[in-house]
Amino acid sequence: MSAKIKILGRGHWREKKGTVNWVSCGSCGGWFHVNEKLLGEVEGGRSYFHCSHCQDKFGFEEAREIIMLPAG
Amino acid sequence: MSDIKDLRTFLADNKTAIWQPEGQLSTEHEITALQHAGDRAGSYPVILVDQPKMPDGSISDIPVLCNMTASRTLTADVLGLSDHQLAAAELYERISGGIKPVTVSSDQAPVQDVVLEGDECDLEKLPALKQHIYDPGRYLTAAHATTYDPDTGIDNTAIQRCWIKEPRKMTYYAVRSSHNARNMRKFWEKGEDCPIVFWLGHHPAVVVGSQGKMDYPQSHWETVGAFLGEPLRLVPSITHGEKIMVPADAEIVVEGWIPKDKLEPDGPFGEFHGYTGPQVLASYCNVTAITMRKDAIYHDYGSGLTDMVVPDNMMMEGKLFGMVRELTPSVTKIHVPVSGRRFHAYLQISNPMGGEARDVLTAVLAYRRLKMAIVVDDDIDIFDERELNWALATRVQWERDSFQLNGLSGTLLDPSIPSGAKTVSKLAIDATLPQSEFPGAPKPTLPRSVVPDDILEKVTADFGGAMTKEWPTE
Repeated sequence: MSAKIKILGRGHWREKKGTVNWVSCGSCGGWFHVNEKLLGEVEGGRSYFHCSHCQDKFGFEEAREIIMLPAG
Repeated sequence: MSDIKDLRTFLADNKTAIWQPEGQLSTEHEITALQHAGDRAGSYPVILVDQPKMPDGSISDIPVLCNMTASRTLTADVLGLSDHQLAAAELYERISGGIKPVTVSSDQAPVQDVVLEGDECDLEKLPALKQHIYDPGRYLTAAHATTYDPDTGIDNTAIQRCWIKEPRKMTYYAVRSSHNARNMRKFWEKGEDCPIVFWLGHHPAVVVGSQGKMDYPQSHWETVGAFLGEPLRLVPSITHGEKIMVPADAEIVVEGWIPKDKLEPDGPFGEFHGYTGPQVLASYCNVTAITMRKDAIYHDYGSGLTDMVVPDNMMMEGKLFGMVRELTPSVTKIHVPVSGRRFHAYLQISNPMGGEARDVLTAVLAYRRLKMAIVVDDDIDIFDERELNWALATRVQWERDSFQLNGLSGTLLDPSIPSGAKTVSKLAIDATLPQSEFPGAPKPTLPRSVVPDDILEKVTADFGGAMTKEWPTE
């Protein structure tokens, strides 16, 4: 499976925008949220996601869907 | 029963404040749901669950205690404070004091009645709770992690969460700025694993006293002694000996090592602010020993619930009092309300001189955790948020009486912080009235609409006697 990635909009700095990344588990489809450091480590192949619903451990490409904060 | 203050003496001395629900209650959500129900109702009994049901359906021999510190009044009472509203001044004095701990031998330490080592250890047998929906599993939430600075040997203690992953393995999440994380990094920089112990369950004076905000490196044990009013009894840990001592009268101790540079996913998990924080990278502990009393009680903190927020906020009040007392003796009370988590503080000031309210506001906003502070006069009860809102509505012109400070250090766990931000903006509000310009003259403002105190007191008693449950409350 190759993760389907959606990037949140950046918008004007005075507008309220999202603050966290969400991952949908490749096994059960459950959504859980992760911080930027973990997301980067998983994307770089140095760590993994641990589904809080079904306990599956999986990499970036195995995610069903990822909603990411914009870079920078 | 012994005279030594521990969890047992607390329970024995406060029987009327304890609720022991009948029947089995699941360790997954059910016990925590009781705390949510209590928070909603504004009722804060200590909850002791005799039959915690484990994930496999069995009933644990170890009861679960929670909500121990959800009540400000009970917490203040067991700490020996004269009034919970005076916690700021009295806890400041307590934090400033200290009584040295004493060392006892293992045979005098109830927490080492049962000693399990190596493969005998099984974290999964503890009735740890899965509290909230997004939690990935069962967590130790009231585990006091104790490490030491390898350069000085001075220990540090903090409550930090642990997710039980395997019988002898649990994550250990210490935020980077914490003193335990600093100790851990020092060991790692030396190429060594970090020794650690976690202790659970003790008298509220010990668990609250251990949350004092200390310098680095500085042990918490003497402050705990000041809270107890007697020396804390310590015993060498089984794994680390005298290098890491543990409270001899605790209920349960988990000992182990944090392997160098090893990080794993931890969370999502409920935070103090009432939201579930994201999955993060955390270190983990390989468990070498578990020790406990013969009839141990397992202590749990309701993460993000009143139970967890109250003691931390009371300690913050003491910290803030220390910050402002150098500036002015006019601050009489401080309240860090549960409704504002750790982010808000209300300060009561008596007859401030010109500029004094703003001096106080500027000082307290430097405290990393705060993001809003309000100063009011001493006719406003800062423990009644209706009164506080009335002061805001009637004493503040926003342009004149509020100011923002931007780019200050803050709690980066604040869920409203924009992604990537390293600092926060803070708000100060001076909701005091203008002072009289002539000695003995009334303040040059509208007087409050009040009735004579003696008449109010009399009819309040009559009113209370006549009240029924059927009267509308909203």
